Amino acid sequence: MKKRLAVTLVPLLIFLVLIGLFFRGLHLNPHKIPSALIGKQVPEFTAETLSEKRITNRDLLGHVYLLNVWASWCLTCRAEHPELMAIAKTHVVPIYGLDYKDKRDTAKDWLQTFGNPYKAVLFDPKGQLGINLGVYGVPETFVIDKKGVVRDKFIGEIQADDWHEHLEPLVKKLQAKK
Amino acid sequence: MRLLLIALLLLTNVCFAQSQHDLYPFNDAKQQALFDKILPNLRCLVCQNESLMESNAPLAQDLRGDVYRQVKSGKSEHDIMQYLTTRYGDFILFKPRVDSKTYILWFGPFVLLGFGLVLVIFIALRRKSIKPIVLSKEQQQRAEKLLREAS
Repeated sequence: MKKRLAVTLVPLLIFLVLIGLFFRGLHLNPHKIPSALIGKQVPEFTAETLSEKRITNRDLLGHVYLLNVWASWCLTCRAEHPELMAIAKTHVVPIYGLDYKDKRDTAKDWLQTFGNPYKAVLFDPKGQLGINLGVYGVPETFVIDKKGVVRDKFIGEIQADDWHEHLEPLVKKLQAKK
Repeated sequence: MRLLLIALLLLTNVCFAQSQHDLYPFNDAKQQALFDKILPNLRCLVCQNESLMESNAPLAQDLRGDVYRQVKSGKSEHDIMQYLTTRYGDFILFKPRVDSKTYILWFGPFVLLGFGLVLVIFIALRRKSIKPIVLSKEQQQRAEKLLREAS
């Protein structure tokens, strides 16, 4: 009798586990693809900034920074912008920008009109640098540590909660490390 | 008439295939073949059910261009796949790789199928071992009577 019960219960159990997995799948967002670069070095790059200076990944070593991918044509970036300004104001962490598939003049105008939260903005008119970093949409924000290792990638608009609850603690933890 | 239609259809097909080749011209047939082989197996990350071959999303166009340049510069299929997966993850591959993370995906269905087969065999064998019920003469008559009344 006991054996029989086990035989009937096993399929039920498998069924319940599958239901659980599918249910979890329903609530995942397939458009949020975690970066494959997390835990790895930022790919080597040499870029020109909006103000026409050369910058490479090595210039950014030695401190924790955010690398925010944005564009003047991106509406969500416009929505995110005030939060980036607020973060820049706290001086907790420098923010670098990556101006993705944009025009230099429009980008400069945009920053002049709305304010510039970036320490420097890498200019990527053709999206090559974006591909090199595995960018597939804007905005995206990388958290990069002192050794140039990607620690996190935030996909989409950073809101105040995301900064306070997720990004700021991570940045502070990374800054405390040697 | 039918033949004409078929010919027309074939022609448009050829035109379509040709346009891809015009956009991404190769001098080397091997490189052309590699390019044609790689693209349909890569997922567009924006419209996720389309391949880089068919998608018109701006990112897909950029990635197509990127693959084109890499093929032209003589990189191997392995190098290009490596380049893309380190940046975009295994998600960019339409066909998942067979490794410890995907064992359950590749072999799970066969395990379940095996389990089902074992279960079916188990149940079938049990059935066989149940002895047929033999009725006594009295019981047989009663049963027939009941059946007759019922009909």
